[in-house]
Amino acid sequence: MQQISPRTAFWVGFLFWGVGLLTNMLVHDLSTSSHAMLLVLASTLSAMWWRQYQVLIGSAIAVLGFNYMYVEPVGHVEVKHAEDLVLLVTTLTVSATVAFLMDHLKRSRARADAAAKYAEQLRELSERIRRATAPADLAAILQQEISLLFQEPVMVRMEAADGILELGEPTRDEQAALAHCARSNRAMGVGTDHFPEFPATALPVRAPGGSVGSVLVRLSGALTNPDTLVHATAICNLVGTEFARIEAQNNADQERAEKQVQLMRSTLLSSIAHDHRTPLATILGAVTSLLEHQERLTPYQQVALARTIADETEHLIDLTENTLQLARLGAPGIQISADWEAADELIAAVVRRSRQRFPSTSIITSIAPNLPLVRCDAVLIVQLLDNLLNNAIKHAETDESIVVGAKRDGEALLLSVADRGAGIRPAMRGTMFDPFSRGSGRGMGLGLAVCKAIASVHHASLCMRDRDGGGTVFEFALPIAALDASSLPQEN
Amino acid sequence: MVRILLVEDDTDLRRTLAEALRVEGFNVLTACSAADAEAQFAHLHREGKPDLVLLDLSLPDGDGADFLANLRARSGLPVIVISARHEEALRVQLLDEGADDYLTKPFSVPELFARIRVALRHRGTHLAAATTRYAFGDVVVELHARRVTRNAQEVRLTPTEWNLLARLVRNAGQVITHGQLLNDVWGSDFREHTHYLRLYMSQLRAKLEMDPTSPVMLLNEPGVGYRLAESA
Repeated sequence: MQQISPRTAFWVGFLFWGVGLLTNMLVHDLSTSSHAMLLVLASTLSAMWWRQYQVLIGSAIAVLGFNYMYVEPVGHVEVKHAEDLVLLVTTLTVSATVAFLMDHLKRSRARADAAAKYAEQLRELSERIRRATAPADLAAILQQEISLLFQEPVMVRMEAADGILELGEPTRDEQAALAHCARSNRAMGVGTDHFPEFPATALPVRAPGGSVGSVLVRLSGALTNPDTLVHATAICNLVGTEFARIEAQNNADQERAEKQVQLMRSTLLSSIAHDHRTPLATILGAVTSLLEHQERLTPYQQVALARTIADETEHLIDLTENTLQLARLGAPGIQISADWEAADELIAAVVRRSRQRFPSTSIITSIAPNLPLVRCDAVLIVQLLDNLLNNAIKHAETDESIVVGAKRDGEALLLSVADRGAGIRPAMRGTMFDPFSRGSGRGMGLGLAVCKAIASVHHASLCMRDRDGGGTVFEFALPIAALDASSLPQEN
Repeated sequence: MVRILLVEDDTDLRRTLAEALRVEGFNVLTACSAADAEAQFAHLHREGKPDLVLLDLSLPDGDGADFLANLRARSGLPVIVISARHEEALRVQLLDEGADDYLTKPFSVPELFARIRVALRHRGTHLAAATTRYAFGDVVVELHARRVTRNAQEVRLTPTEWNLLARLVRNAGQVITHGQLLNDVWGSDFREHTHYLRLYMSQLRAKLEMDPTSPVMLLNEPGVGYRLAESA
């Protein structure tokens, strides 16, 4: 009965009446009560389709017609026998009762259907809001859903952690109503018992901890169906709960990020406190010595002091670059600029520079032939190799060469730096990649911590092992990404 | 005397560099901002104009990109960009937009002189290919004859290898970005195909370098591009 239009329903009901009346007129040898029974049947059947008042009007007309045509005296709207009067009154009463019951049944059915539809809408809505990640998205969804429900303009006011979100263009009165509704956590305006004279309806958006905002529907007429208000409240509560959840999660993320920043700040401060002071003191010592005792220093001593200044400055540059890099890599959501790189080229660039800087150190390379290209951030990989190489040079105890190697190891490219230093004491091994752990004497400060961070942003691994015959090997394993063969250059 | 305009906002660095350049025999003009540099260009007479610009990337009134664009609209004056290590992206952008070379802070004075020397040698070569012969170690490249020899033996190159080498020879001693090389050798559709460059550089090294794993001629500038060592 829900599927057909009121017009069709009317004609179906009319058809039953027509059949009933036609039967009454065509079949003559029936008793009066049988004629009345046919009328009751027609009325009952029509009640399944017609609205209550239509059935009552139809029944009244039919009873009058019946009275006129079949009840003595025939041809008059009069009743002669008391029996006929009972028959007429009964017919009318039964028709009215059936019409009333039918209408009641139809209304409950319509309500149940609407409730099922609302439940389905709520289920779809809860899936939609689960996909939303920002509080502003939820506010927009809420506005959209409520205005769809009422077909009227809707204002939304949500209280997010970073300020108030307002959608729609509320007037000053509406703004006050929105604020009041959220604060009192109580529905107000048309259709409620709180300020029912206010020309709009405002509903609080509730979450488990209290209200998180409010919506206001600017009604152009009266509220036709009180059920829509119930449904709107359900939508508000659903969105409110999700809103509170997202806010809580964002707060937790923010706290974590703040903690990270705090940790980074203390790391950087200790870096400056620990590692920057020594080279600065050395530089200042050498410079003042040059300035004040210049005439007493031999040219050889002067050059040696200048050399010290240059060396310490280089050391300070490394420290600064590592400190800055660690801060950059530690920032949340770091993006690296990866490109196709050849390992031998990167190693060559690092080794060339180190040879210029430490001419007395022997550095040799061991690069396997036909290595695949890898996707990485060249600047970061160079810094990693630079750190490992500087580390090896500083800890070298013999004149034996430092070996920088590259080879393929399954689905990874293995870059390694091997020295013949004293090795790393077992006690140090657990913490050597932490900032400020150091071997003996002046350490790399943040060097290895930066290497670890660079490995981490490349989804690569960095580990240390003892070298056969003494010393240490640092190994950096970078995953090999597949290079589409069809994208390779073709040339005859 | 060669005139150099030094655009640098840090007073101490400006004074130190200017002093070092004067000791080396250059005539040094200084500017502390892009606007200051622009003003100097506007007021100097033709004969007083600088022969080379040293441009710091982080100036108080901008990143130097606008200044470079204005300058390039008027002249092919050599420009060397001075940048901090973390300004990689901007550095590559300025090189792509016409800067001749770059130096990363901190740099040594001999490095600076080497860059200036190369840039001055290439002065005016933006229009005419003046460099036609390149020699380094046992390798000789003759652009007009399209010939490469190593120890007087001709080296056979594929057309792409030749185009790549020739492009590097035309700016020998200067860095050329990945994007410029890909654009000039393969075409503008290939600007992102860095892997082409890696493969062809490796082939060139195998043919021309004594020890391809420790190249001395075809040099990599990680994250920026390639540099062919200065002709010797």
